[in-house]
Amino acid sequence: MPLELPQNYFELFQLPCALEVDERQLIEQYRVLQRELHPDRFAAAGSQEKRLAAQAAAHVNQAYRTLNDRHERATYLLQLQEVVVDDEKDTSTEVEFLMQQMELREGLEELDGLPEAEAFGVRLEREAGALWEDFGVCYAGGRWLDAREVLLKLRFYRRLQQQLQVRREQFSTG
Amino acid sequence: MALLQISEPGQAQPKRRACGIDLGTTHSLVAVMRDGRAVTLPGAEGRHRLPSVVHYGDGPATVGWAAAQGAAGDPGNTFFSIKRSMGRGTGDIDEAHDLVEDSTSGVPRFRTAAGPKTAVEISADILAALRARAEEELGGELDGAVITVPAYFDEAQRQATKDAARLAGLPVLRLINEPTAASIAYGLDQEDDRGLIAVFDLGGGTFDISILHLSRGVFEVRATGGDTELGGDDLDRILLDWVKEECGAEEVDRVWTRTILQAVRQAREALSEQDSAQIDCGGGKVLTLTREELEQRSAPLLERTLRCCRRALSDAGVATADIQEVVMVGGVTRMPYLRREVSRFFSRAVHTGIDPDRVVALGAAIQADVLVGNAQDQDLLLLDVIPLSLGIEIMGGLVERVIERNTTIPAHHAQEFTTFKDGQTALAVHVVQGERELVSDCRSLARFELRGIPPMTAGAARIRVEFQVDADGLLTVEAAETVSGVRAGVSVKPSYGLEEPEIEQMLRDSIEHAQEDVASRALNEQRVEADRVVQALRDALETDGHILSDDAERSGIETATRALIQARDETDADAIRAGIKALEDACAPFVERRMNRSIQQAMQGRRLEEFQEQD
Repeated sequence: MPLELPQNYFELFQLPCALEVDERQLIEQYRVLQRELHPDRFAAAGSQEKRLAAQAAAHVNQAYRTLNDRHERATYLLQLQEVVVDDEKDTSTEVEFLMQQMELREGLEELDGLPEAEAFGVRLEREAGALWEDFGVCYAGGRWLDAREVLLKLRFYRRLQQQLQVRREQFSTG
Repeated sequence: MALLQISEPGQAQPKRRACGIDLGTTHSLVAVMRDGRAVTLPGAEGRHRLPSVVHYGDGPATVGWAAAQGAAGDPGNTFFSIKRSMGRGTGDIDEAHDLVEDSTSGVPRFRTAAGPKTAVEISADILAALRARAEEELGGELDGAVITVPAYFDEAQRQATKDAARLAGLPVLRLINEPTAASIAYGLDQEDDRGLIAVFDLGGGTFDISILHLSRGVFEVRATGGDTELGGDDLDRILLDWVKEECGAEEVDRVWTRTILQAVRQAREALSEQDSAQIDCGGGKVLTLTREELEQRSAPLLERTLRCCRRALSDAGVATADIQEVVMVGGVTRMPYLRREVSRFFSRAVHTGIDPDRVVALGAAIQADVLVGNAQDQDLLLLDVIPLSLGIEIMGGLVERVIERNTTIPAHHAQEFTTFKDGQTALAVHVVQGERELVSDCRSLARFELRGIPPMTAGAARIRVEFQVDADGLLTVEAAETVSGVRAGVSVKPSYGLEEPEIEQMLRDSIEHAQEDVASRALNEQRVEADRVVQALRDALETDGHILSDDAERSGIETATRALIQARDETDADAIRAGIKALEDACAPFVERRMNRSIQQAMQGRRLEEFQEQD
């Protein structure tokens, strides 16, 4: 008998299956689930309870980690539609977009000081925001493959934002 | 005890005996709950801190102050800071001790007057001394212990700690991270929502920084970082070099080094209270160490800690301004300089209210009390993370990460791999831990092989590798070829870990040494385990007996329970072991149903709360 734990992450957290989630509901339900299922609750119990609790808690953790991150959430939404996005292999092939990305990358490398980095961050934020809106429209319209294309573009922005964070730290620590 | 007593409803259950242990690099402590408060326990000589020093001579091992005092006289047989060697291979050891050449599993063995000893055995001697303290205080054998480890300890170091506990005869409920334990002791969960806190933990040998979010009893670790080779010891070594420079000493022996290390530590500690201190270098030469000089020498060490802090903050996705509380842990944080600089870094006053040496043990005792089942009304839940990424080796000596650092545990993740040669029938799985891209830069954890894959064209096989990390942060890996169903798995025993037969041999040796009867100890262990299983079942039946499916299930469980209790009162350890297994089998459906009911409750509980909020 397998554990009767909802396999669908959204169902597990009692959230509608959508890109936008109620973050408060997410964290509250996470805590409720872990309070009941964490292996610490079974530390003095038998080995079977411990094993089942570890299994259940690991599932809850993975679900939480997925839904708590916008990119992961979007990937999961597509996965539920049987559309696979492979982080390693898949990439956007739109030439115009790739050119623009190269330009942004150069911009990032040429940054000179914190104020510039902040301004660059605002720009990334704005452009990524527009793409997220596109994703929402494609997803709502059931255009999964278009949504996937948008998500692949957004990965470029995520990477840029991570690199910008590194630059910011370099600037602030000298 | 012939029959287990079932308490009447409403009648208080007898308290179970539990303790928390801080197994430190330079000092260790044990704490228990007394009248609802955690207290550390002193040794016979009245001191709470037990130096983590072990001396081997003719008789049994000497641990603590006596060992430390005699150290200068017999440095070769005296072990300081053994924690630094836990889970480490021969190449990582830079101790002033001789290693015994022939070691089967790659675990370094030190030459001592009492025969070869591993770091695990030496640590077990420290743990055994602390266990004796706790048992004397609590008046009997322990039911459970929580042992703390640096948050930044890797898999091998954690496993070594658990092995040491087993050798010391400690029933470990959980390994918990030192910074998390400290935050429990501060009771920072008492208020509704404390937000984010940072725990800065600089001990004798290790540094940890943890960023936690606290809300109504839930301690969620967001990120952790650190350095397992950075602590007060390193500061002492820097000061030792300074003394050598000042004295013009070149050729030095172990005895001199040991004496000076003790002197500089005392001077360093004294400088937390005064502006200068004397160091006697022998031969009539006395040096004066000023606080200013000390601060200057400490600066690189401070910078290394702050670098770890920056990364942990960035991993947690927060800025220093988001941190609402900063807790200082570890004896070294008594230095006014560190307090000042850390306070400046976070732009806020730091908590130093609880003795930084004791705070970790106190927190561990509180958690042990909860886990052993004494404090069921306590709303305390720790959600901790793994400090280092786990992955496997792929083509070209590269690492494919399977579980990222700072993933909440328990964690489970599966990844698919494939074969790269036509007709390949075996696959070597090499498990590593670390953040670097090259396998050679990461720590090797384990290797095993998946054999008997049916020959297929390259890339056709589907090999699913599953990683499972339990609540202690320990890893199990399984691999299976999903087309053919061929499986292989290991409970990861780190490459520098002890093998099961070695541990059993050590257990036998230690028992013989203590002149106990091996068979009676094994019997006793099985009896304790049987009592635990029966008691846990009684508790479960008392609250949830109504979810038994029918009388047949109930009578099956009762029969197995009676059989186990009977075996327990006889003298065959194997029969008790079999009885435990039989009872667990009989209970399996009940246990699963019970777990599923917990799940339902969790799912429904939320809905009820929602209704209440809407009302």
